[in-house]
Amino acid sequence: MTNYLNGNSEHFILDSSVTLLKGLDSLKVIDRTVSTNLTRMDNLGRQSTLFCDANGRIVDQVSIIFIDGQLLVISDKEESHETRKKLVTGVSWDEDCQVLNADDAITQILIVCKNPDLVLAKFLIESVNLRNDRVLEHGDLLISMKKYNHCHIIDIMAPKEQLDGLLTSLEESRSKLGNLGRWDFLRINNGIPSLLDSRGKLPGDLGMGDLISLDKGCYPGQEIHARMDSRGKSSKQMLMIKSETKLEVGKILIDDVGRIFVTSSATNGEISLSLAICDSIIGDRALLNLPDGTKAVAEMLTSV
Amino acid sequence: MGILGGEGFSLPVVTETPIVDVDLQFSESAKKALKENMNGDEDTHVLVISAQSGGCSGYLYDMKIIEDPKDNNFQRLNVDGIPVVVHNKDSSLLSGILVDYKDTLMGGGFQINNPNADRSCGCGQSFG
Repeated sequence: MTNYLNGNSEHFILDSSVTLLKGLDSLKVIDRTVSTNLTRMDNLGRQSTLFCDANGRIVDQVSIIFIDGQLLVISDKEESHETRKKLVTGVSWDEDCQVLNADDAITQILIVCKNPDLVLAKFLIESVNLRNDRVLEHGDLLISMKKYNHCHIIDIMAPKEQLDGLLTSLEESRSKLGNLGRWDFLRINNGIPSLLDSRGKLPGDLGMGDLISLDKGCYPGQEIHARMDSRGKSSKQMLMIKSETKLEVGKILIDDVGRIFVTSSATNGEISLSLAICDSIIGDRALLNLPDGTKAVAEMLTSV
Repeated sequence: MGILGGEGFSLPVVTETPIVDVDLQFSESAKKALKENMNGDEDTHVLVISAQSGGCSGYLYDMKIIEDPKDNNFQRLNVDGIPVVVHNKDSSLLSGILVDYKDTLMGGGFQINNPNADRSCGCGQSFG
């Protein structure tokens, strides 16, 4: 397993959109619209969920943090206008829920690292206290962490005015600041689909079935998700492809495998990594003969 | 203070709701059923028709008889002497709907036909 990290850790300032839902009915309002049951969230809980259209296809993937009765909704910047519009128009006249734009107030920093304690020591935090489904409130920072096959990813939500100080602390911890292209490379290596990969796709085809709560009742896309579930496993598969040449986003026809759809691709200058959806099941690992005559290795991503 | 900075934390409010002059149609059976449900409270109560997120298609209809909110954010219509109100924020979603009433044991009651909806759920309560 290769983590491709330069040193122990690299950090990235994500161009995320942050929305604050304020009011007693906030959780009820967003729960009606997304694919996951959020009603069991408690203070400092963190949950990923999906906004889908009536055909069950993903239109936005968001992360929600419940804090002091308010909700921070972290989503893709490109879809933020539509997502906020859905939230605002979805509030009933007699409900207490205000939708606030926190893009200029709160920022998201991701730290990809081998040993999280080497980075966290600067903040006097131990990695054993960090989880993926909860945030740790540390001063004005909200911190969570998820372990992947190749590394750990620490997620920090911070007030924008503290960004400079935070970046200085990370540099002092010998973490390197990377650009979004570099983040793409590392997230693909860890099998993390972004909205680039998931927009317009069915959650089951991307291994995102755990973001569907079939017991929560109606939400946009629920009928399609229930029908897909009743038919059994998806006939498609999410792949991570390692190749020498960078694959272009789009359809590729591969001998002995059939059609694959490359959803995102990034390179570190030596090797290219891509996420792709395959129309057929190819097993855990396969050697692909690309149309340009080169070879690539595909690994099935069962869980993301 | 925490990331949300307590009470002093102020952020721009998102408002994305176009307001139109609302136009509603009621079938004769709906008018009759509405009068029966109002039960003579027309002077103090109103029928509020509203929309909220949810359902298979994105939005859900709701109808309630409530005490007159006397709020300028509601548009007021008179349907054969019955006051009907729609909140400004729902005006673009609901303008043009036809309210009908079906007197059947199964699937009966008030029903809404929305010609502006791109799609609607089989149950008739959700539209988008």
